[in-house]
Amino acid sequence: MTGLESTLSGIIRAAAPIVIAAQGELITERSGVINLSLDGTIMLSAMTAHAVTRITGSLTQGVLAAMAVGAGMAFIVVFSSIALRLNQVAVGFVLTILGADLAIFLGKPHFNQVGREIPHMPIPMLKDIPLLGPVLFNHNILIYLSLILVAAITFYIYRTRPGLTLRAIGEQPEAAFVRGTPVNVLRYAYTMIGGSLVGLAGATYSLSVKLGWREDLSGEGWIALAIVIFGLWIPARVALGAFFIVGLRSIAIDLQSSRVIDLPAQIVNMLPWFLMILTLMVATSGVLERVVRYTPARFQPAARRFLRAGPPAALGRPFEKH
Amino acid sequence: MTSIPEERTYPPRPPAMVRPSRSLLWRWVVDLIPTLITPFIGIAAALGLVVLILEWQGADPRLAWQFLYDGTLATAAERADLMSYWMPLAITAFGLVLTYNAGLWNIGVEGQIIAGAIGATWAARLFAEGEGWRAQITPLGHGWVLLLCFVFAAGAGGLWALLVALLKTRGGVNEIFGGVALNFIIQTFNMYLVSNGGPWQPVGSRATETAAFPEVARLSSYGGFRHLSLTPIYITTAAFILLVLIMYVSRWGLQLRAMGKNLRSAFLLGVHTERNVLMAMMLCGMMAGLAGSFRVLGPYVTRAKLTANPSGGIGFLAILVVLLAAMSALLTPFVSFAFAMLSKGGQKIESGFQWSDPPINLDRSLVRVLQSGIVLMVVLAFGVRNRYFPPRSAQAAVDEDEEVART
Repeated sequence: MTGLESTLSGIIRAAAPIVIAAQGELITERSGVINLSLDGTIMLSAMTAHAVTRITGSLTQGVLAAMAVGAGMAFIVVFSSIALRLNQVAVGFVLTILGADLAIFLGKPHFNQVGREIPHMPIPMLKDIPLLGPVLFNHNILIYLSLILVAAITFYIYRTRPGLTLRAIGEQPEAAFVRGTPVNVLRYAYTMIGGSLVGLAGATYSLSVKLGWREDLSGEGWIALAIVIFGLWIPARVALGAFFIVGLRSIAIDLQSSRVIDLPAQIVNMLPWFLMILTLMVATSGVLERVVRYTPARFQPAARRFLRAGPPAALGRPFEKH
Repeated sequence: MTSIPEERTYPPRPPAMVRPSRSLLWRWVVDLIPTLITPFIGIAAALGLVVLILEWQGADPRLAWQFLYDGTLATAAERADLMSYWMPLAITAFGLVLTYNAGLWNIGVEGQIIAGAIGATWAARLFAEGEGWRAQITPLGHGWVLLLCFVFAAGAGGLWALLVALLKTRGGVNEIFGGVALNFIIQTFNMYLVSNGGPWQPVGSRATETAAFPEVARLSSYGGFRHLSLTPIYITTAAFILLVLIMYVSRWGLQLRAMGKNLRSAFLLGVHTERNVLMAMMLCGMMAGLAGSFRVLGPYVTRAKLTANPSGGIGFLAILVVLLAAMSALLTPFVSFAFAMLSKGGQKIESGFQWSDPPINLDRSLVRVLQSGIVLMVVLAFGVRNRYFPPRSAQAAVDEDEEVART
């Protein structure tokens, strides 16, 4: 593997959990619910996956348990929002803290213990393609899944009838309800599916990307949440955002470790957060608008589709039948 | 047109009883009772959960309660320690009451505490330590150095909060994300200052902390207790009085509440929303900064230094406090006291069970689970109550609406 190949392959690998979590949150937010508990959910599910795998010896059970944890946390958010009409942000935030605390408390016996890893699974023919092979087809199944997920969710949201309904309940729940769509039932379903993907992201950390349970996952969930905004709720852009942030992070670490630039390690650690603020500022300012206006007329529709999109109109607004 | 047939029943219904209308005060009291009971249901649920965890770990919950008491209230020294933990938590929560009533999710408060700690350390190095140029030109007295430390801490915390607010009003970055990002940035910056040969780490030291501040930059201890000082208590009390005046007396507090209820309506009614956002955030940041200074200025030598984690997580804890106190300025001191007790007692619970027979490994993070669990359960309990057992006044309003809609 050349240097470039290993760098790119490392980015795909390190970004996988953020991609999965961000796609899960994207589905949730597209249905009109904000699940702010990502950071805590990722920690708790990562710990669960590691612990269950150690206890039962089964990777499948570990992954499933992590997904169940994610779905459970999401259920609390959506239940308190729809049935109890509580503030989603408040409940999400409390769950963020509770998830992290529970993970640290329950994970103590499994802290820094050797766990199992998802087996490496290069895809036979495809892995020999120059450049693409080592970068895309030389990983384990969860990393492939992160890539497949992006394509699948794009197809689902934009090309299928249920996907259209998903967008409808996030944009115009009243209209969807009048058309006979059970808005709240679907919101339960999508939030829990999204939550289980966040749980899967946690499992991807502890079973593959950052092997084991070391309590150092705080922050990843917030990055995933911010990337959904940066990606303007478009699956492919969200994935690109994840690769972008993770890529810059890993390039900076590479440069620093090879002494090309002599920066304290801490400056490098700050970088993703500066980028997050910067990208959020750009994404919500009028800059993109101007870029669209100055693109050649032929490319304008495409540019507009890619650069301009808003949050789902009913995001965070509970739906009530009248 | 068809006429609606009159309803006929036999025997004819007696005329509707007109209930004697009770006084408003009585109805208010009746409404208050479930409101008072509800939080206890939530707390009981969370406690029940923790008791289950304790039983599952084989630990006796009564013993845990005993350790909690021993570690916080049993002796004067423990009470003094608890006081020194409570003050920064309380003043941070007071600041948050302002922002939360204005509808601002100031998650960046954790970073504002750290900014305050860094500001206080900077002032101490500048004005009190040998190498600070100020200290060599004009040696300042104890009071002046402390005052400068507090001013620097409040300034640093306030500016860090102002940054979040400006990012929100001018940059379009939601205060939750801006706050989280700035938290991580200042945590990393703090780490840079005190670790791996950072500028504030003493030469040759391997510990991730600054050298202890000289006597002149430490709070003076009170009553012979190592960690107790009266200055934080005075400042926190002043902050509380200021908060109560703002929230219950001043017009500005009313404006903040209006913004929290509906930002757009408040703006249309002539409230300077942007200015108020900046001011509320800055005031909160200043209080958090002071909290940071309380945590680094001693009085005992082991605590008079900037460490790798100067806030110790009290920022997030303060957010939980404010959520549990339902953003009420008057409840905040009590809730923050209870949470300070839990946090401090947690250490004793951990060490107590370690030395008990047989020893049980019970991590102190259990009390943090209890704290966030209580907040979640109480929030959910209020949700259940308002949804399924609505208070009478609310029910009356709904009935009235339906009456209006029918006619």
